[in-house]
Amino acid sequence: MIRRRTVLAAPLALAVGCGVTGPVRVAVTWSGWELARFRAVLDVFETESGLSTEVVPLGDDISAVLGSRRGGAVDVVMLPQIGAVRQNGAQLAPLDAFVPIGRFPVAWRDIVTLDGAVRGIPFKIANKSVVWYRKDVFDRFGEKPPERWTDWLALNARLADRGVAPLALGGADGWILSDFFENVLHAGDDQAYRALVENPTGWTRREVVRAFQEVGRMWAPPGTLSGGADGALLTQGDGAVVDHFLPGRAAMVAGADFTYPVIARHAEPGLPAGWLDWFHFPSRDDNHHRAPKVGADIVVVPAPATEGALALARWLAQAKAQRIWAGEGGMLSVHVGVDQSAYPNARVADLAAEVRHAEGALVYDLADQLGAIGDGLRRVLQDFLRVVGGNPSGVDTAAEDAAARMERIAAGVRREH
Amino acid sequence: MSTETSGPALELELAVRELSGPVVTGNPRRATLGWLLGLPALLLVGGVLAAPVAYTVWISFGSYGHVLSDSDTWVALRNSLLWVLVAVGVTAGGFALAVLTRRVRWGATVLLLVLVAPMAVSALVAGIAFRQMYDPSEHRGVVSALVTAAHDALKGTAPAAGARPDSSVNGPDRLDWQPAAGGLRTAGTFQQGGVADLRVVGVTVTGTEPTSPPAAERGRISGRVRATTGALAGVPVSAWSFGELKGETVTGPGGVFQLDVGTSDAGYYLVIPEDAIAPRFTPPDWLGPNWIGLVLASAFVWAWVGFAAALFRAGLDAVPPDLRRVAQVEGVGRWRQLRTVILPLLRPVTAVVLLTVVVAAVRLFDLVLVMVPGSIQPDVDVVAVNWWRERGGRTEGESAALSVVLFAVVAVVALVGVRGLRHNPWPRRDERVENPRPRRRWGTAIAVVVALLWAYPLLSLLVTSLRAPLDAAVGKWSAPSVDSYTEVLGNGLADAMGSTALIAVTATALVLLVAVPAAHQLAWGDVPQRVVRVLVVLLTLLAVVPVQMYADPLNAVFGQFGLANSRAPLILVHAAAGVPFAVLLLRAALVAAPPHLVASARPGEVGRRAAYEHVIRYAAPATIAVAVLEFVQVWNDFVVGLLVNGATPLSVVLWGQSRHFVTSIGPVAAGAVLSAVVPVVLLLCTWRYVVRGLTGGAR
Repeated sequence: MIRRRTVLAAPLALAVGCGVTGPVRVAVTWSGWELARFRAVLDVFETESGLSTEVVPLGDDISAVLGSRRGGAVDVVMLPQIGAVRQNGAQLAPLDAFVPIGRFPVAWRDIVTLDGAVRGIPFKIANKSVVWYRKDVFDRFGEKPPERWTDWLALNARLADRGVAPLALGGADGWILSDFFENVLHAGDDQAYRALVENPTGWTRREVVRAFQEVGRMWAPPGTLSGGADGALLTQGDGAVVDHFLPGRAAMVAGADFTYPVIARHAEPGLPAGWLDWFHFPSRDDNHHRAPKVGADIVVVPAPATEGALALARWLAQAKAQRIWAGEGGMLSVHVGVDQSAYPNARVADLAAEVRHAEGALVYDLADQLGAIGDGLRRVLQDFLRVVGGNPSGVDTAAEDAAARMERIAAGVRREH
Repeated sequence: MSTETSGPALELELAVRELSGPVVTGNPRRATLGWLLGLPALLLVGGVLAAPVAYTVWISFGSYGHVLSDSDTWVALRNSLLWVLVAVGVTAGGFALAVLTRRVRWGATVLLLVLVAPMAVSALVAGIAFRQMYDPSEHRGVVSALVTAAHDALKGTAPAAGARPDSSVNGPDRLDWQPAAGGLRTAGTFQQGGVADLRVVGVTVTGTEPTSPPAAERGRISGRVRATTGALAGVPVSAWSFGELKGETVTGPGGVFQLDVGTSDAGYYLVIPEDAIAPRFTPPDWLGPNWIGLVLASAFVWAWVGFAAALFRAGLDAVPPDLRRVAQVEGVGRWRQLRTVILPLLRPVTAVVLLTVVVAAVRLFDLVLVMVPGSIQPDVDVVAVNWWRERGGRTEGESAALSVVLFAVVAVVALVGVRGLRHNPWPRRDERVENPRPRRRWGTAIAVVVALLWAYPLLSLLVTSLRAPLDAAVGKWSAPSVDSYTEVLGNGLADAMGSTALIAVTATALVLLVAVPAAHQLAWGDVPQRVVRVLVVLLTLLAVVPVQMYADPLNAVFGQFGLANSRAPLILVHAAAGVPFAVLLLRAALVAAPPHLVASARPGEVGRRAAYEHVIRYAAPATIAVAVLEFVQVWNDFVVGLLVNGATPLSVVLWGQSRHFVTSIGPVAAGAVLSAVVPVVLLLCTWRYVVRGLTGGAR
């Protein structure tokens, strides 16, 4: 009897020796500085709970973690696409105990609820309708942040005439271009925006073509993009900040709240106080202030949930945990316990307030929700930039071509599924 | 003492024997242990490699139509075949460099070491080094900096870069872009004694206040050039009449100019030439769709040419000098000598080099993943990357079919290479003959240039890693610091390095443990020749099978056993993947042993232990080669770590770090240096054994 037990236990002992009952594994998309911030959060968790954690940086491949073919590789996933939470809801463990009513705004609690159970915890929220600008350059020329789209176009023309490029655009990163386009589309007609989410083959509608045209009207005039369209297509998101915005070559950079830490870390110490500020992405026609476009990293636990995974999820749902990263900038929290004082400065706190108090349904990234069509959108926008850069007269044709291409891509993807 | 009875004649021969030991009495022992020696290898390779491969082939039936009708697959296949051409180029380049090293006065060893070092470095590190070198910004990328400096040296910087005519001006002062005039031309003409006020926009000028307009002067056209924010100095202005240049000058401080035009009444157009207003030069987008193929190919060439050169050098050294002398005496020209004497002798070396490099080119994965930005990956797609990127949108059968297609291409190459090896055994080199070779001065010069070029990527990585992270991001020169190292080590690299070291050592030990007995059995175990041939072919195929073929079924199985979080899957997969190559290499070394040694080692004559000790000493270089190559391969591996669920190895962590390439370039370079140090030192210390082991020069 004893011998049989030891024989059966031997492989398990071997497995333990190889580290099976090991640390809590967390899959993330982050790297570099953002990953360091998350590790700081996990370090506090390790001290308080006594469990060890291991971070698995997966980059863009993270949605494959939930696929059925990857059998239980990680305990906790920080999922960046809200749509993926709803798609894979059945495979995620319910986390109702950690998300009691009232801890997060109703809209946020609803978005992570599927089949009557809460499947995720909103952790790192992003406000993606932000344009950061250099107040010192604006003051030098006596300019103010624009309220409407047409104001912004006129402001750009004035700045370009004075030799300062208005916009630093990281065109090498397709998602920066698609964020810009989605902001323009949403600012112009949010009905069309939502319609595209539900029916991805409506790209040739008038409102969508108009959105392409307006984007082109902003990017096309010569001298608008720092480095020209060619330079913009070489520049990645961080490069736009470090190479163009910070040296003063460009006056504005369209980004999100997580652009702030990049700006703050690489800014020269000699800049005057209050040199940096942001304005909300201008609306197109009326003065109506549209809700910001948001992104979120949601904490999900693939079923079956392990003890360690639940412990970590419980920890990440607390205000204490969310404050650790929020205090450094680059993360916004919608937890009701995280107030204005948690953020590095008042203006960043205003970004958080915008996100938390957004009325009505939340507006998410279009490209992320559309999957393969979203990849197509990024490529189409890069080609669009290449065509219209420095060529204002070709904007209308290019816009129609781009919309037609998106229609073909959407139809092709639809056909395959 | 060996005796031979063959019928009526009795032949006695006294042979000098290398072995000595106590004579063992009794009947000769039969080799019953034979099959047991090969059993561990059979189990490991069969269970971890062959079974999942067979399963993948089985589920791929029925999906070939869909996969082969997809145009993206054909683009990927075409690109993979282009890479085969690159591999052939690498082989030719390696041969040329091997010839060069024989023409060098001194320092041939240094040159070969510099060439071989990139082979020890993982494809990820190579990708990081080259991506940094080809960074489009001239602050961070050396190639862009050189091109910008060359452009500015040749063309100079424009005094009014980016200027555009001010469209709010009306009247003769207004400037228009006129290609026929070669620049900006005034809308109207000016006569002598006139004053012009030329305005442009789009240029920032600081510090120069526009002075008052100059006074009119007889015989001259005066004026000034200014931008919205100030006056522009140093701008050339010329006066033209009826297509003829009358006078030209350059604006002084305050933007004022004066042109002597004589006292006639002719009207003159004023022109600002095109190169005075040309916008700031942007270097080409090396990482864009036009150039990325070339950049990738240069990284691949850098990594592999040293391997080809080292092997060709060993092969050239083994060419018997008598052959050359005979050919020379016979009056055979140098080129003909090369073609008819040397190249045929090098056929086995060429086969090995081509086989290895072409297989590496077709299975290309890590280099593309780290160097190519995600948005243009479809343009330079190769089959392995396509398999991984489109996995989500394909069914299991379709992914399996694509991986089988990849395997088929690789298998064809491998089989051709094995055939090339079968008929021409290695040139055995029993003594090292120093033939007097002509050494040229230009040989040394070229060698120095080549050595500098080859050492540059790793050196630049080292330099970048010694900068503080914030300085490296903007390209600022500063005092050396280890901040980048502390940052990257604290961000998970230290744990990953320890984990990877453990995995590599365990996998290498397992490979040696399993492969040595199996190779011994295959070489000396009285296995029928036909079986040996079949086994060699099977082992070659298993040695080159791509990871994409067996990763998914294995993940499912490991998940069932609950091993998915541990190091065990990686150790098992690496060991199983390394055993076929190890068995082939060791068998080749053992088979090349002199016959009398083999005869003495057969059971019955001398104690087994003495025989084995001698065999081990004999086959030591091959064993060291196997151990070193396996360790380096596991340490540098990226594909297996990414595709197989298990502990996260070093390369995957480093890849994750390189996402924000621009702002994290310091820590990423530090991580790359740390990842490269171990295998480079190991390989450079043992490379002679490795070359000897690979070219069968066992002694």
